[in-house]
Amino acid sequence: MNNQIFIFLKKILEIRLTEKLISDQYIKKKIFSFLHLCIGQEASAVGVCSALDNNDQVWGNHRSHGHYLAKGGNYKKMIFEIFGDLRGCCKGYGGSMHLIDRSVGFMGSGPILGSCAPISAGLAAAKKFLDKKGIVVCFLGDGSSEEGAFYETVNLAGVFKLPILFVIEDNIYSVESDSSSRKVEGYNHQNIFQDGLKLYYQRISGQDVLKVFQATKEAKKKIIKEGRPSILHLDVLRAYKHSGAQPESENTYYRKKHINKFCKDNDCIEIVKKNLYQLGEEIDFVENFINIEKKKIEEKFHKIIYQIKIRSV
Amino acid sequence: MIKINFTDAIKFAHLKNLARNKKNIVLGLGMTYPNEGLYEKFKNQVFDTPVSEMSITGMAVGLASQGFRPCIVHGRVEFAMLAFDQIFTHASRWDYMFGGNYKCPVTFRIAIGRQWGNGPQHTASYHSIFLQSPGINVFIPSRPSEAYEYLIYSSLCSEPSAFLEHRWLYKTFEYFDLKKTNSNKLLLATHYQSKINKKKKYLIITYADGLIEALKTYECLKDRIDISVLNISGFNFNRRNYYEIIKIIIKYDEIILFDTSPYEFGLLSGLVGFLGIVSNKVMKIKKFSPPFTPCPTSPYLTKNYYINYRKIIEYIQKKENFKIILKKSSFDELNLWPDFDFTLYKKKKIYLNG
Repeated sequence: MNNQIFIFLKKILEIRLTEKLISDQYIKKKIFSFLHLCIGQEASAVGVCSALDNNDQVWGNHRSHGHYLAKGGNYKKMIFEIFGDLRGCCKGYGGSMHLIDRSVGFMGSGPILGSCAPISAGLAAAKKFLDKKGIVVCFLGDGSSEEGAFYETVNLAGVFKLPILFVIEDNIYSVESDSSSRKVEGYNHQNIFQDGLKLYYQRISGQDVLKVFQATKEAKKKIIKEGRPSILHLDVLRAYKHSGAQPESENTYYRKKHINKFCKDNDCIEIVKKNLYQLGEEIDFVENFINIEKKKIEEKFHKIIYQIKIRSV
Repeated sequence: MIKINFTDAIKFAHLKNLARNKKNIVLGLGMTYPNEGLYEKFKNQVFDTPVSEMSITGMAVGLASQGFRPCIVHGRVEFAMLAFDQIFTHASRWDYMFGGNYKCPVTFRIAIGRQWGNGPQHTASYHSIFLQSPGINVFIPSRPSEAYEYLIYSSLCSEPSAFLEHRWLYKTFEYFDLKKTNSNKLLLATHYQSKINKKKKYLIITYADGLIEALKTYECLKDRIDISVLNISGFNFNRRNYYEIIKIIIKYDEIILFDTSPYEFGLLSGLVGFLGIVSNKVMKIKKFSPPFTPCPTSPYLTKNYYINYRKIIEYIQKKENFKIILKKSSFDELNLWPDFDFTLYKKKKIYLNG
C-alpha cells in the first residue's frame, strides 16, 4: 500500500512542479500558447489514471497537462508542444490545449466545452463495436457538464451501453462564475444522472488520491460488468486562475466565498502526506522523498527547455 | 443501364459501402426504418439514434478517429447546425491540430435547400459555410449518378466530407450503369457544351438543383446560340480545384450565374471573386438568384423567390434579338419536386488531376 501511495505522490509532484515551472516561463514570456494550469487538482488526474490500464483510453480538455502526464504521456513532447517547439506532441500545431499521446491511450484533448463528451462516446463506441478491452475516460469540468452536449451524450452512452466513465472535475468555478450563480437552487446531480439517466454516479472529494483511485476502480468494474456508463463527480480545488499563470490568491474578487477551502490541509499533497504518516511513514523520510523528486523534475524540465529556441525565432 | 432516382442512388451507394467494409456504418434518426432498406441487410452497421445532433455527430467523429468510416445523416442543414461544433471545430481540423497522421474520415450527409412549403427555417443552404472550412471535402451532387459516386468516394478518401444533398432533386432520375461509375477520382464539375460555334460564347455556371433550370435553358437555346453549362459539384479539402474551373470559365465571353440560394457571399460569389484574382480577362457577368432574404412558405410568395429558366431565356433573347414562345409553367412544375430526367444531357466530366 505504502509503495502505491509513494507512486501516486511521485506523479502528483511531477505534475505540480512541472505546472509551476511552466507558469514561471509563461510569466517570462517564453510561452505563446494559451495556458490552463491544473495546480491544486492533480490528485484527480493521478487517482483516475492510476486505476486504468493500457487498454483504457482518456480524452481530455483545455486543462489537461495533468491528465496527459498521469496517463503516462511523453513528458518531453508535452513541454515542447506547450513551448511551440515543432518536436511537440502535435508538432506545434496544437499547443497546450491539444495534447495527445496515443501510444499510452491519451487520445487527445480540446478546449470546446462539452464537446469532449461525444468524442469520448465515439472512442467508447469503437471499443464496443470491435469488442475491444478497456474503457474510455472523459475528463470534463463542472462548466462543461452544464453543456447540452454532455446531457445528450450521457443519454446516448446509456442507449448504446458504452464503456465510458465521465469524470467531472468540479472546481466550483467556470472561469470566474461560481456554481451557485449557474445552477438552479436544489440542483441535484444524483437525481439527474443516477435516478434520471440511469448511470452509476459517485460524488467524492477529488483531493484525496487514494479515494479517487478506489472510486475509479469501482466505476470501471461496474462499466465492464454491467455495461453501464458511469459518472465520477470529484470535488476539486483549482489553486490557479482559470487561464494564464497567476495563483488564485492574486485575484482580488474571486473565490472569497470558498477561500477557506484553500487552506493547506486541503491540498492534495498534504493529504497524501497525511495518509503516509498514518501508515507509519516517518516525516523526514517523506519530506526527503519529496525534495529528491522535486530536484529530479526541475533537472528534467530545464534539460528540455534549454533545447528550445522559440523566443529567438 | 437502369432508371435510378436521386434517393435510390444514395441508398445504392450506402449498400455498396456497407457491404465493402464492416467499419462503414450509417447513423441517424430513422436510419433503421424499413423503407430505408439498409438495416435489414446490415443490422450491425446501421443505427437509429436519439435526436441529439451534437452528440451523435461527435460520436461519429470519435469513431472515425478510431478507424471507422461513419456516415452521419442529418435530415436538414438547420438540424445539422446544432452539430457545427463537431463538424467544423473538430472533424475539419482534426488531423491538422493534432500534428498530422490522425485521420478522421467521417461523412456528414446533410439534406439542404429548397423544398415546397418548408419556409424560412427549413430551406437554407449555407454552402459557403462548408466551403470556407479548410480540411473538409464538400460534395454537392446534382444528378443521381453524382450522388452515387460522391457517397462512395467519401467512404474511400481519408478526410472528412460534407455530402450536401438538395431535397429538390430527390425525384430526379437518370439511366445509368452502377458498375460504370467512377468513385476513385474526385469529380469537380460537369460541362455541357454547345455544338454551335459562334463569336459570342455564353456560359451558365450553376450547382446543385440549379442544374435543372440551367439545362432547361440550354435545351431551349442550344440550337440558336453558343451556350454551355458548367455545373460545379465537388470541392476537395484544400480547394485546389478552383484553378481547374477557372481554366474553363475564361474561355467564355459572358457568364451567367444561376443560383437557387441568395447570391450574396455564396458559392458562386466566391468563385467570381477568385476569377477576378487569377484572371486578367474582363468578362461580362450576370447573376440570377433569389433575393437576400430567407425563403417564404406560401407558393404565392415562393413563385417570386426562386428564379426559373424563363428569366434567363428572356435575358438572352433580348441581347440576341430573337423570340422563343415558351409554354406556360404549371403550378406543379413551379412548386413540386421535379421528376427531371438527366439521361439525355451529354456532359464532359472534369476530375481532379485530369
